[in-house]
Amino acid sequence: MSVIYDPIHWTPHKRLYDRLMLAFVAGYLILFGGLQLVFHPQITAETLTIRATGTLAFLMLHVILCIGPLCRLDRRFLPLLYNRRHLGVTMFMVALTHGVFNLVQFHALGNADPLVSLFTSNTQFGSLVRFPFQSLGFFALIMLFLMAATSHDFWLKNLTPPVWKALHMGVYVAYAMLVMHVMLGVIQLEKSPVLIGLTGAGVVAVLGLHLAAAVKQARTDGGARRYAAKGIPDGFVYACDVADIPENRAKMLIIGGENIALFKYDDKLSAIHNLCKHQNGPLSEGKIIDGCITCPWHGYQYLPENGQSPPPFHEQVCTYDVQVAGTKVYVNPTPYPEGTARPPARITLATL
Amino acid sequence: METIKFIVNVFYLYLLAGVIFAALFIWRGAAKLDESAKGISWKTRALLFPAGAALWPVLLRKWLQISRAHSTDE
Repeated sequence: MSVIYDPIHWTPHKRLYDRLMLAFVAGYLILFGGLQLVFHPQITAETLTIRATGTLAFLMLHVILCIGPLCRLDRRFLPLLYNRRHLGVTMFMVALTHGVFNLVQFHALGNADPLVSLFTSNTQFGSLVRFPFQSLGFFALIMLFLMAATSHDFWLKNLTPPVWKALHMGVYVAYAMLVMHVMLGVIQLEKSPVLIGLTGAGVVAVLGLHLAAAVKQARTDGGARRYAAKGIPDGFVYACDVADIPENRAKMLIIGGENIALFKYDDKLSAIHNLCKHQNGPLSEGKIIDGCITCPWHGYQYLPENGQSPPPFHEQVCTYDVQVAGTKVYVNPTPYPEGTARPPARITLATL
Repeated sequence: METIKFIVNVFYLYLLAGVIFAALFIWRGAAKLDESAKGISWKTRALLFPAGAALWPVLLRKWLQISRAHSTDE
């Protein structure tokens, strides 16, 4: 998991995912190119490349942004999440092609430096409609580059997860700039209501899915708080019934601000922090494989009794106390330091 | 116009310094920063190069801090 850095941790699923993704990229470029040649037979190769890569990168960015909320709404989308960074890097490469072709076609043929030309060819920064949309694309591309360049686990570890996460949340800033880039570009150059409509539909889809996922999360959190109101003394609060948790699976709880994954396995119950040390993946959506809690995102593993990754790995998460009374499960939301061993609660015939 | 020229030139200088730094970083610095990066393949080093060039002021500061800490220990 973290002892050796490989260029890519290949798995059969990743290979399949990448093949499907590259097939989609190739298929899109062929289809888009064919349609452009049919409807615009005079189009130059450069313009065709700019249009094809620009629309493809924008479409891929929408897919990337929709994967997170889709997974929170329906677990069947989780396989899309596991290899999202390859999708992100590929999207950046497509966007880079779009940017380079634009820079060459529109700014590299004069006397001025291409970047100087980019920022001086249109200086109507005070106008909403005539705003220089290409500069928005340039800054968005820089942000996408930073995310693609730091996508390797080395950067996650050495920039620290909070910094890395904050950097990668910049995708939403980049997305906002790209929406403006596309909208202004369409308004200033294409004047196509279809393109404006498609861009608007994309924005609605991204915002709608994020909103739906947030509502679902708020309902889940509210449920946990209602359970908490029935708490018993000594800091333990009611979590759920034993039967509510499938074998080798978990229930996600938010109690007292703590995000907890409560696992049932081998007639035992253990609770650990819900967020994986790797990329904050939801451990409660994983399952126990070979005695280890396995993160659904990238397979990082933790022992349920102590929240430690099995040797030789060294990731650790917080642990919590669990008690069973009858068929009811109680969790104390006070976290123990990362990697602290806590005895699991036993499910016996007497408790049931 | 002159201001933009100046900013673009600063940007190019930043990139040039980043490229030189990143070459040193993937050769020596990465392993200083993270013991797990000792003996990594050249393919992996190549993957670290772009971010090494882009984030060179942050990485240089970290590298210097580690070097100072090691020299104090000795």
